[in-house]
Amino acid sequence: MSTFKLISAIQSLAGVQNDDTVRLLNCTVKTVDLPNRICVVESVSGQSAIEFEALLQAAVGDGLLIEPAVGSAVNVLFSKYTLPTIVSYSDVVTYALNGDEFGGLVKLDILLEKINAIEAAINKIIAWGATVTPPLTTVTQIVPTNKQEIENPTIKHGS
Amino acid sequence: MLRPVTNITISQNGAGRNLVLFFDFVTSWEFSNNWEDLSAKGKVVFPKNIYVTEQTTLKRYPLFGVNNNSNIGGFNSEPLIKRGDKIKIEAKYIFWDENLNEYETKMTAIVEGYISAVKAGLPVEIEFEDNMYLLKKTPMPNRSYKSTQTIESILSDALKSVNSKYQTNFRVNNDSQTNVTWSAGLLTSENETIAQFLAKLKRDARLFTYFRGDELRVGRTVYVESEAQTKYFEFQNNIISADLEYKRKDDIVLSAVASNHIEETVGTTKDGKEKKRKKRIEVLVTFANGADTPTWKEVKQGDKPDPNTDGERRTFTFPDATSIADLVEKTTALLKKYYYTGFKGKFTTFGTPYVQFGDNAQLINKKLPEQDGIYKIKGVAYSGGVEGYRQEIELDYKLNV
Repeated sequence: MSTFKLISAIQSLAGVQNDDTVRLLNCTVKTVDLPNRICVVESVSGQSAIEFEALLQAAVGDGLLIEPAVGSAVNVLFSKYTLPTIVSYSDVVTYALNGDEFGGLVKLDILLEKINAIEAAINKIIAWGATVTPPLTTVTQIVPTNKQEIENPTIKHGS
Repeated sequence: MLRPVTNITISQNGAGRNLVLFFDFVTSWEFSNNWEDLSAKGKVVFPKNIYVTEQTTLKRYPLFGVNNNSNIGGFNSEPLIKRGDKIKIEAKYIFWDENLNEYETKMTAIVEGYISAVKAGLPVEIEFEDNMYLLKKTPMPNRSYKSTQTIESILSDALKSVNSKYQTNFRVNNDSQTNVTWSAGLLTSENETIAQFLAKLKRDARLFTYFRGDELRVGRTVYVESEAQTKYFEFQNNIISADLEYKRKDDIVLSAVASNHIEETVGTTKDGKEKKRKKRIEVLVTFANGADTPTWKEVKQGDKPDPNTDGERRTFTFPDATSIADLVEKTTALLKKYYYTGFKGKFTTFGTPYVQFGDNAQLINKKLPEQDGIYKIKGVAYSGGVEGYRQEIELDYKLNV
């Protein structure tokens, strides 16, 4: 029996034949190719510093696409039978959720300031309208919007 | 009567070591060569009392035993034979006709390799390997190769460092162009030798590698048909012993589960790129009941192949298969080679006719002519010495089905 057959038989008995071995490597982002959903990273942990391509998505698609910052740290899953994939990021340039045709997320505090300003202006008009004869409107004053009403506190973002 | 002659030449290697030692006598030697094992290995056992002739000065050195100053082990000073020295084994027969006229067969170089170990015990025993020995001593560069780069080009680059370090002329056979597109782990070398990299390709991607002379061959096709020679072996004649089993096709059930994961385009992303999705394709192909064409069944995502209740089941991964039909075709081609009425196993013959794996063996049985057939040789274990010169030939599959 050849050595190869012997090794294969032992692997088969041990149930480890064709088993994948997965490693987690901490890497630094060198370049990003967003259209092709890949970036080139260099490993910091592991046996040696090697440069390789890692996937930003499981396959090219629209789902969640995160663009890591060049020079930032990422953790990459590295295995025998699949291409390396980034699983966590230290610094991000952009996120895209199902494409980007609706533009960026709303900056809540700025929007709230604008809404409150509009509400205050309307309230002034309503108050003034009530002083003229005959009164211009019977609408009641708008209660100024507060942050808790319109914020989803579980998902936050920054610039 | 055939008288075997074995010539062993050991060329010292390394700084200040330039003796060429020649032996024309040996207790025993053996060398096993097949494509499944990464390196072809062998060993030589010398008699307890032997002199060796240095080829340039013709000075005779006692190898050990009669002269206490002989230094095979190198414990006190530079040894005569050392790990890394080159070794060449050649063999031939001398024979006589009824009028005692002497003839000889062609001297055949069985192996040219490197000594990998010199055993400290008595009698002196040395182990050797083919050129793969140098690849076990040479590191691969720490890097990850792109999946678009062929294995052949990766190895060509790697062999440059072997050639410059050891003044060899190794090259890669470029007849095949092999890609491993679905894995970066396989194409990454980290603190490993070239041989370890090749072992990984063999273990995880079933890419076999072997040396034929100075040529390193790699790829999914092992044999080079253009160089295959057919040699004749006859039962009750030059087949000394056989561990062969003759099986009829009707009695064999041979099946294989073959798979791959492919990337398919499923539309366009919002930024205009081809949208991709990974898909596993898997089939079960079965040859049974003597049929020339197999039955096959697609194993759908989430399903398991039918259990193997009878016969031999193999598992293949075809990284270059692009569809179910392609998978079936590739599996059928591979299985069909092993689905035949004929011999399986190995047999022992004399040192001549000399064969190497990849050659073809035409087996002739005059008493049972239906057992005649031509087979591909998978491996040969050569042996020689005082007990005669032998080849144990392992068959791979039948060619004339």
